[in-house]
Amino acid sequence: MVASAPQLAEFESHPAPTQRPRGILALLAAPITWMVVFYLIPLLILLAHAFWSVDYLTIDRTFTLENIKTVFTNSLYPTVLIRTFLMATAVTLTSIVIAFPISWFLAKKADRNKELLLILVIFPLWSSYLVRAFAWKTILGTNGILNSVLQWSGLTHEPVSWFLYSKTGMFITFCHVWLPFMILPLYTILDRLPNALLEASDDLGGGSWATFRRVVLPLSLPGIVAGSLAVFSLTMGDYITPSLIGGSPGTELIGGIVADQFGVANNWPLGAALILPILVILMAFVLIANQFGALGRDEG
Amino acid sequence: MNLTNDLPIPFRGDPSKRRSWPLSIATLLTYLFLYLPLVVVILYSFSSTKVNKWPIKGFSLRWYEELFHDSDIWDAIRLSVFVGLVAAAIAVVLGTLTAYALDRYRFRAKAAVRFAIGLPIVLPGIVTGVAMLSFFSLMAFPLSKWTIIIGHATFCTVLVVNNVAARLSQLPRSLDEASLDLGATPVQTFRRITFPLVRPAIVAGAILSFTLSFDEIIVTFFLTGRDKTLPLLIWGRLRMGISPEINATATIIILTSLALVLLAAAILRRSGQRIF
Amino acid sequence: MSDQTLNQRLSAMEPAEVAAEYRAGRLSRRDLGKFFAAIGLTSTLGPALGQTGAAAADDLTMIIWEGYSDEQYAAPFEAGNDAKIQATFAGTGDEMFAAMQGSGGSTYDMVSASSDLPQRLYDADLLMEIDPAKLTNYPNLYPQFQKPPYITFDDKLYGVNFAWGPTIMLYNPEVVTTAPTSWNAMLDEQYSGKIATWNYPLQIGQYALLLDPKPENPFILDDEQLAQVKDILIKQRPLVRKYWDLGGEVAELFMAGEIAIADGWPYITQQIVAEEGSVAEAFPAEGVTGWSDSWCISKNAANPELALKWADWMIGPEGQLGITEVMNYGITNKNVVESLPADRRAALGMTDVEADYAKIHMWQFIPNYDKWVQVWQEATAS
Repeated sequence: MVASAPQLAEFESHPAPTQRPRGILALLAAPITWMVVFYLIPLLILLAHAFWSVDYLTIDRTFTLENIKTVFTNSLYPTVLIRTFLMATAVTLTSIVIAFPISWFLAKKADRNKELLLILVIFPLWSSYLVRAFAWKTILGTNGILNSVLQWSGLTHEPVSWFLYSKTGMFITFCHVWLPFMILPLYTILDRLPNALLEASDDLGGGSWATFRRVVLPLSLPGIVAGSLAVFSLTMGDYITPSLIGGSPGTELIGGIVADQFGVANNWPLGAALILPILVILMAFVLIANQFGALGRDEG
Repeated sequence: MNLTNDLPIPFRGDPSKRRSWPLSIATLLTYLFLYLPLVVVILYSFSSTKVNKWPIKGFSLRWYEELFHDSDIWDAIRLSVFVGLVAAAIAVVLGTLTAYALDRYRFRAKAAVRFAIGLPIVLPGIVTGVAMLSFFSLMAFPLSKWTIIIGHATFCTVLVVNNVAARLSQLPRSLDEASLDLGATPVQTFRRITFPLVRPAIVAGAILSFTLSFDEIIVTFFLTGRDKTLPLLIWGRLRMGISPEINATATIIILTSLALVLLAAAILRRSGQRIF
Repeated sequence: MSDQTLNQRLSAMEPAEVAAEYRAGRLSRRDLGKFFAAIGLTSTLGPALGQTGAAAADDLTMIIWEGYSDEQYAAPFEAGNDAKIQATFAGTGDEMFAAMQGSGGSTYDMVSASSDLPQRLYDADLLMEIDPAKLTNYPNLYPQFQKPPYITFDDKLYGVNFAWGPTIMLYNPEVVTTAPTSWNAMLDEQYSGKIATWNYPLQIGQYALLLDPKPENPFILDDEQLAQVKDILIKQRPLVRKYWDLGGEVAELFMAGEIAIADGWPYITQQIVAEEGSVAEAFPAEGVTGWSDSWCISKNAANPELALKWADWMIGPEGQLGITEVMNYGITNKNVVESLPADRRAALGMTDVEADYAKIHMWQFIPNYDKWVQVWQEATAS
């Protein structure tokens, strides 16, 4: 699933005119019913599961805080939650660093081939995420392409084993698969940055570093935050990459544990309880993002 | 990823057009990073051995031959196309209605509506997947391709909303007003004036929804019954490690979609629009 | 014509026939409208895009261990019964259970359940009783496989036992130059980063064989014994390159040179040998765990008769010989076993079926399985 919070930044409608309560009901009846029935109610049902329990094979629907307690006191889950949070943070920060130069180039330097270059950034999203993640196995493996290159160039003599089936491997793969989600919002915001502003900073004697730090960076924050929300959220919930590239598929990141509770271990209540901290973290992020205007302006 | 976004400040001429080598090199390296796995997939689809090992031992078309005789893969592709089309159609209807309401009306719950519509794409797919699974299970609603479609349509709607809302906000309001002043009903105005103008944005939203649905695995995994979409089939095979036929499938999909994207860009360009 | 009979009539017809009826004026446009409304969007949109996965009557869906739908025996069955087998491979019995439970048990028609699983399926009320009289090959099974306890509940039969075998140790003789004799080889630091082990809580039973004193039954462990196994697994964790999910994955890990030693089944050896990879099997001195697999049919199977035919086919000569050739597993049909040459029987570990079978600690239902899952998860997470 592709989160694209950046899109939310596109909302910028101008003062709306007419006031027709009947018309609005007619327009929104279907979308709202759909969202309530197929999304909000399911979310509530999921949350309710967190307070139920499993009795051998059936779900016992009496209220209990047992699962919540397990999530926070068990030796495994807090560790994995923290690890997932750190992984998502590292991937997000790295994506920002990788995405900045290319976005700047596309926004300010590219001319003739701009459209083609932009298509080329997005295009990887059109090819299977699964297959791209899997391809990293071939690149990072003991007898993989990276090790072959390193040995051929004499940089290493033995194949490096920690590229694959490791957190390093997952980190590299995540940075690759989500990168376009960082580049796009960043590009959009940089492209809108008036060049006159940069010149002004230049004229006033700000060096390029000063211009970047005092002008470009603050103004591009909404794009950075929007891209970060997408990358962070996608990493927090993923279980495919850990399974293909991680060493211990079921327990590397929280997404794998949650998926296993639903697809293997058949402990839905525990799975639902494990989702709670993910929701809390992401909601906090969304609120912060909103402060930065990454979700578009709210007007009544 | 807004396909129809005409940017408000079209800054093309740039006074500070100094070439910066470090920047160009960094950009080039980023493209390499983005494309390395795709090149690997295409390369190995022609490998003659089963295991993806470096260097490639020999080349053959064996996997393409097997692919063409593999009815499971073609069934999965057909199902994925079907799911993508229906989900995109639903998303277009829901999304256009929402975008129109958000743009044309002022109401108190606007922020809430926008938030709710955007939620399925802000929260990770796994949340959407297991929430819907719990819901369908509690309702004793059997899982099938229809539950997959419901899941996909739910997170695709926001894409259409964003594209259409962005386009609507660029349209001069005077057009509508003129139409209404001349006695057209709101429905007529929408059909004759607004719709033709936002059509490119709707098409873009539909294409985006389709491609997103076609590649989706995380939500699909929880919502499928006995049906296997292409990503689910690929997942089942990749789990077993051995993948040459999958490489061939992916190569065909990569090349087809590249051709389609370039074609779409060319058509849009001819009619005076750009993908970006 | 009442709506109901109309719809019944139309449902039985091919679309082309319906069209012909309509053209011939025997059906009104309104009739057609009602019909399409009745059958819904599925069938109207379906033909337009080709059949998109709707289960046909002759589809047999199954969730199985890898290899159990191999073409060698599946293709002649499909041809003979005009059926299409749609198999999904599972990595663990837990996955099979979750899959069987999906959609109230209507997703899969059958499952190749190992000896630990049928009890859980039965308790969840997911299994269909099997009438042995309908199985032509049933009388040829060894008596011990006709009504074994793991598929017999309340004195009724709920599975057809067709294959069995051990979980053994596989190694690459080019790296591991002396044949390992103990499961301790999978805890040996000299193979650090070259070890893979099955990602399945049930494997606790295998590592319990290393406990001192060795438990009489490695699948009946008290809390203290579980804690001891957990220590072993925690010690092993940093040495493990990959916790594997599917057999094909182990084969790939060996062939790509990622690992040198792993636990696995004879079928994995077969796969590696077929690709000319380097592999050998070892039977550790502590003994081995193993599995006895049965075809179980879902209570809500779309096509129970066909499922029963498949089970019968798989305990017949073609299915049984196929299992020995494709999978290298033990089989349950006495006539077929006795038709094999002595050296082949020895290679398959079936010289004396009863005695050889008894040597393996067969998987069984584990009452405190939730604890096993907990221990496994905590120990395998770094």
